[in-house]
Amino acid sequence: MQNPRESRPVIAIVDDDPSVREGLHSLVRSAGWRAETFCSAQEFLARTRAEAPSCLILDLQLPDLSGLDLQKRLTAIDLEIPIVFLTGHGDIPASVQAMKAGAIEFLTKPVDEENLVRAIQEAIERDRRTRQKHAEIHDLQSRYDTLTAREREVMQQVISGLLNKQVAAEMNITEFTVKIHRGRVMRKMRADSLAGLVRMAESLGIRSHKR
Amino acid sequence: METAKDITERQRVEEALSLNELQVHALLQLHEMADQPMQMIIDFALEKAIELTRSKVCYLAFVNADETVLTMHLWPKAQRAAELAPQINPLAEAGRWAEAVRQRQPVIANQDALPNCFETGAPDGVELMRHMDVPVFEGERIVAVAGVGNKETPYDENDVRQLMLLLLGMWRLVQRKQGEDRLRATADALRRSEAYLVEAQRLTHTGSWADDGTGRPLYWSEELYRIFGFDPQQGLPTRDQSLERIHQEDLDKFLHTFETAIRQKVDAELEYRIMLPDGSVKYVHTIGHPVLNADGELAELVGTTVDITARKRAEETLRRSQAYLAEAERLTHTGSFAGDSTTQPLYWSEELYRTFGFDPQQGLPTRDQPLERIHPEDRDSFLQAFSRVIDQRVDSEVEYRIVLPDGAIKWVHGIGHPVLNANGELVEVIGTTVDITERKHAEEERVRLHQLETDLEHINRVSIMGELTASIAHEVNQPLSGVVSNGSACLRWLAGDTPNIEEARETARRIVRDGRRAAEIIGRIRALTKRTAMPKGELDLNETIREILPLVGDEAKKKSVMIRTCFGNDVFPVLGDRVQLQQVVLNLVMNGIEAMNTIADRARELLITSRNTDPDQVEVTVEDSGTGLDPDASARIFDAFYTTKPAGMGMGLSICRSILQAHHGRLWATANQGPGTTFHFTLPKEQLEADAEPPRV
Repeated sequence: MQNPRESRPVIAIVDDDPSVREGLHSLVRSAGWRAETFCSAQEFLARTRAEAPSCLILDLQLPDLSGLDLQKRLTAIDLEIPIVFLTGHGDIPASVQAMKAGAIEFLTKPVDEENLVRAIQEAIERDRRTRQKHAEIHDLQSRYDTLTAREREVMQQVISGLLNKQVAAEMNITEFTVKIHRGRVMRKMRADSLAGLVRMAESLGIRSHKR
Repeated sequence: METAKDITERQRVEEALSLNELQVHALLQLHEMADQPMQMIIDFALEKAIELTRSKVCYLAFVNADETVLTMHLWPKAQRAAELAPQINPLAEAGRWAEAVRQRQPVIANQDALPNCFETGAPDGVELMRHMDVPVFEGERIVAVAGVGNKETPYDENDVRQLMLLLLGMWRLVQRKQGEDRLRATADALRRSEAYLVEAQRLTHTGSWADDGTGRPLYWSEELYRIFGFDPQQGLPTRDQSLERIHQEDLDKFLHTFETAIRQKVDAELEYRIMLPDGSVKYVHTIGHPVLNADGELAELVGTTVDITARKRAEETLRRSQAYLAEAERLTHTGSFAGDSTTQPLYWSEELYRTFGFDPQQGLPTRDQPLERIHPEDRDSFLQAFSRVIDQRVDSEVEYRIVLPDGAIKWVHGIGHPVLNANGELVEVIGTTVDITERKHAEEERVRLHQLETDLEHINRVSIMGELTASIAHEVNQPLSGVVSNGSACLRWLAGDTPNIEEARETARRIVRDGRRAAEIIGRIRALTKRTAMPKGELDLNETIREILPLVGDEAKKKSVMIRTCFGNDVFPVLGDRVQLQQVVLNLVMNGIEAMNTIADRARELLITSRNTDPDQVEVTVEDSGTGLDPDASARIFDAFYTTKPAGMGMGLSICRSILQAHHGRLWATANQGPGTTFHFTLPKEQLEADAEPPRV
């Protein structure tokens, strides 16, 4: 009913039980998303597709690597995929652990269609935001990459809250030179205020230079 | 004439002298015959009497003690050639020859012609012309009468004197002879009776004795020497020698008995043992009798001692065999009885009294008493069995119950046997009664135990199912989850303006498939939790094992255990109870999973294999990589109630083993080369198939 378009989110399903896997596969597709199925965590990790899925529907009990282990593994390799956990039985400690680690939802089999669809939607939304954030940081980083070493140094002093005079004394240069560097940093980073610059630095993970 | 007269006178003197000489000679001869038999002495004396009195005949008659009967003997021998038997004549009827007895003095009858002299008592052909008779006195009594007759001249006083002298000499010898003979006869009789006594004592093992009342032997019979093992040649034993032979354990009893007898002057009687130098022991029975003198004082003790060893041994043997029989009856709870044809009891063994709870002291029970003890429901069959023996004269058996007065119930098995006489008539009924209460109880116990085993098996299955509840729920939930997802998807495919029928059909197909899968699992669970055992049937072991793997799948996943299977392709079919064998595998798998609970440094892997080992045997193994069994535990893991699990009942492996035994199989455990344990079980190949094979020629 919908034309397959590359922009449609891909939902990955990892479950060792064929009944569950095939049921979810059909359900996800019937809701208009694309679906990929895997019968173990290892198989998922070994997937050949370059594009990361927007959502991972993950069975808690998998024969080789458990759902929680896979979640940890993905975090460790910075693969930030929103996860909807499925479990055969309401395992509270596992659900708490999963939610703390950033899971979208923790659903009990057999899953309620509405809950699942809502969870997938939420996951897709979070994925969209994550992707957006990643894109922004990527943009900032490329601007930051254009700064000279001196400019980066001035930027670090400035976001630490030092006055130009103090920066000059610190760097053993004139206040005038500080102002020139600072102006260039603001322009290259496209920052409209000091507060904006500080936020950008935070996003880039640049530490202030307090001693 | 003078001369003639003188000659006659001289002749007479010469004759007288020669007679005197003859007489003296005769008397001397007679005395020299003292050692000759009596008959010869009498013969000699009477021949001399004829000679000395110039007679032709002579006789001697003995007179009986009261002088009423005369027994006549006739001489000389020549005239006795006719072998005349002595003639017996009552004195009153005897002829004139007996006048000397009647007149108690010598009588001379010189008258001519005495034809009636032997009116009575005369031997035929003897005729007396004249005669002279002389009685022989012994004190006042006439013991004999002798007579001579037919002298050519008349008898005179001289003849009387001659005859009397001869007779007296003869009679003295005869008397002496008779005395000697009597003495000899008495001595012979005494000797004979002594010999008889010795023989009698020897035959009856009876010795006799006398002592002086202080235990000093005065006399011991030959047999007593033999009994006590003394040599008669050595003479009487001393008091100490005889006491030494008494068995030490019986000495006190012996001394006490004889002391009492001596002090109280009463008979002593006791049995005691004697011990011979060779160590052999004899039992003797002794009776002692005190002999008192005129003053009532104890003079001596006489008595008999009988060797009763043989009797004792026989008694002992009898008693022992009776005791053995009683013991055997007691041990086997077998009583025996005999009854007459009217079922009146004739004999009851001790054990039978015990079985029926009767007191042997009360004597034989009546006909009805045993019947009253028999359980009312069993009386008819008991009586029927008894009458079969009596009426049909055949052996008969019956099992019945006895109700004792305290209400206790015994089961007994009775056998009756008819005893028939030569005419085939029933004489007695004999039989045995075995108390089979214990056997009955054991039978009941066996049935109860079997039920208990079945119950335990069931409990074990249910408890495994309990342990697996989460796993099973998960296993059912999976297909249900598929059903729900497919159902939802199906609705979505059908919704909207352009329903996707193809996708919807596909989901519906999956719904059916998953629903069936859930139902199958529930069916298996229901079979496993059923109480009753299933009949054995032909089974594919691989399939049987595979069926239960889903039930433990989730449990294994949760415990991070990987279950792998390696089934042989051509595994023989076996004959068995599917549920019981699945129970065995479930137990082994669950144990394996549990054994790997604490393993963190290696993979938790459970491997199940199946293969044919023998031409007619299948082996299944369940191998874990867990902590392994310590040798101590491996000896006991199959015992009931042995468990290493805190919450375990300890019945699992014990039940598994008994299930396999009931399948003619075996269950055992071995340690792995690496870590962990392998449980093995074997089952025989189903034999029906082999039987169906045509015989090879």
